[in-house]
Amino acid sequence: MGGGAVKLQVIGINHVTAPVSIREQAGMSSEEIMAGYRTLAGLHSDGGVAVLSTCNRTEFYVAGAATLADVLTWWEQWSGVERGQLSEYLYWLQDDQAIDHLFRVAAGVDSMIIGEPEILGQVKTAYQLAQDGGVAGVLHRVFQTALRVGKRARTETAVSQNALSMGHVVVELVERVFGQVSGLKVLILGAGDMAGLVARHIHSAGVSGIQIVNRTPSRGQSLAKEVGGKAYGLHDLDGLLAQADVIIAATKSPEILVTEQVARKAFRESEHRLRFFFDLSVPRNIDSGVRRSGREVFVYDIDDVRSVVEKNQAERRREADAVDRIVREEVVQLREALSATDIGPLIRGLRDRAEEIRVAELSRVMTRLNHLDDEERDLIEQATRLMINKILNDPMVSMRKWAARGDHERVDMVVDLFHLRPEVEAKTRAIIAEPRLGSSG
Amino acid sequence: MLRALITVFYIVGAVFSVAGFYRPRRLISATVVTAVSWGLLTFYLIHLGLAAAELPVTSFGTWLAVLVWIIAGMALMVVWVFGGQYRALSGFLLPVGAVFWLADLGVADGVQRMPLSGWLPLHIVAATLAVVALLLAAIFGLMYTEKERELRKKSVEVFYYRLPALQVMDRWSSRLAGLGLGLWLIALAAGALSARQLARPPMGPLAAGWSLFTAVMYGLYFMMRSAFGWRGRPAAVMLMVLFLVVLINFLTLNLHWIVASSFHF
Repeated sequence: MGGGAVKLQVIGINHVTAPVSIREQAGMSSEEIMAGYRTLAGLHSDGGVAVLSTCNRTEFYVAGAATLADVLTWWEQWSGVERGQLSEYLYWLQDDQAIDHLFRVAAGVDSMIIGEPEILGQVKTAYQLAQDGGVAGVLHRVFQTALRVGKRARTETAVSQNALSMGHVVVELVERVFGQVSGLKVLILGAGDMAGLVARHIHSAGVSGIQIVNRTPSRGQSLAKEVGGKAYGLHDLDGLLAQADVIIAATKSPEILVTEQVARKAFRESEHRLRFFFDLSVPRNIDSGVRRSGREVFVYDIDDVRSVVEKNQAERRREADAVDRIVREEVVQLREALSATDIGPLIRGLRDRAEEIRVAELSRVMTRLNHLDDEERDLIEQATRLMINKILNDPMVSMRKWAARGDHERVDMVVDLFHLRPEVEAKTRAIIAEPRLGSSG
Repeated sequence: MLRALITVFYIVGAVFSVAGFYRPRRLISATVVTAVSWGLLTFYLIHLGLAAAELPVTSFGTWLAVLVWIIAGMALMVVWVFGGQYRALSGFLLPVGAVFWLADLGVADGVQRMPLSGWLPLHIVAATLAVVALLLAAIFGLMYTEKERELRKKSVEVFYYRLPALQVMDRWSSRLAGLGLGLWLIALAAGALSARQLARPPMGPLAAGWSLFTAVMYGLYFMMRSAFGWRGRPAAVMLMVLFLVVLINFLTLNLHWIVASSFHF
């Protein structure tokens, strides 16, 4: 069936609209989704359906004549959550807005952590489940494009680059100072949770032979075994220091473990060598004067590392603008591809006309409602948008059915009835006048 | 007209490449504009060569144009071949090339025919490539100091994200300085042999003496690296200072010789 001849909508909740207590109730496992696909075969009869359910969102992508009420009924049955509980957290987007939303989700810019890599895999899984359940229908093309958008966002922009966790930032800083990390000598002071976390990150980045120094050797040995390193006692610290490129302190010790004097002595033979100290302990274990122990010594404490995390977040947000450009480009391309054989221009013309009226009337009213705060204004904005969507929903479903049946007279009548723009009218008339592959007309 | 067009495209390319630090997508525009200026410059050099039936390196002005052509070509090659964080190199390289080009506009003297015979062609080619290699070494040094400054201030900004790792830049600057010194020594030897044929050094005794001094200074840099373990910032700063020594040789002493002797190359 011609993809564009069918309405596409997304109904869902996410980390922005709903608290975790609601998201955890409304979420569904892969098994539940598959069970839903099997028991509600009627859902996909005239379009397609795909459910994307992660810890931060649950969304129903539905193509076809289904109404909002239909989808909510299905959701209620599948998840067991009453629709009344969900209603205030829901968003409902249609056609271009729904496509735009899916693309943004796949690109990672709608995520809680911008650019997070997991979401693309989750979108892929949602699509795969719909395919396996035989319900993907015309959503096949939309999801394929969404996956492409996700890949483009990650390869053409830096939205997924720059680490956002302490452990990853430590690795990132090391890589941006030393380049290849595989041959580096890394010394970790401590064997607790933070030390373990960083040691695992460093190890997975390709560093072998990590040296773990801990007051309790047995605990150090356990971590050293896990990351393929070697454990030492505190008394070995001075000797190990001279050979290390990266020194990470993450202990609960209340005292300074590496003083300026100790570092100066250790680095006397190689004062020009690059060395990076990370002090992730509170209270700090590395004397801030250590930075003077060599010409190329850097000392970053936990606040410094955190400031890099913040800068990275800002950098990702900046990249999100570039992703939006990709999304807009792909939405236009997909819309054109889908509209080539359907009454897309008419639907868009009608929706644009309604939106123009809504915006114009709303702005007129808002000027007289100066006493409202932003939240109240948003509520009115949402309510009017919802009204327009609901009013237009049934006529659009009917128009698509007429177009699919080749009932040109009725479609033509809509153009006349609403005095749609001349260019939309001309394009729509030209399209509906052409015989369509597979159409009965 | 052609020189004016080259100037406009080259400077716009340089500006876009610097803007690329802040908006990486500007690098695409920078590459396109620089490619156009490089194409125009190629056409200009071919035109000069055909007009004089000689390689366009026989005057100081045309030699500078060739140097700018190589610099722009290097910037394009780095973007296309290496990509990644090396793309930022063009943001440093092209502005330097733009300065050379503006200097060229000031000293333009057309092509003075001079037989490129004996050891002189080798001297010119080796010296030109040496200048490019030493310029790249100095630029890697400059990039190192900029990124290192951000890391030391603990305020990571643009260079932290856009430039290669510190250690990688340190290695490249050292390698390029080694290559540059090697070529410089070849140019010195070829210049000495050429001086025998011409009965005088190609660019006068002062430039010859300064060239020898330059080679000794680069030798000192390598001695500091190997004997005293110099790395990082001090080594990077030294390379930048040493390139000023090279510039004095080319932009001051050579010009002095041209003016003093009223002899073009």
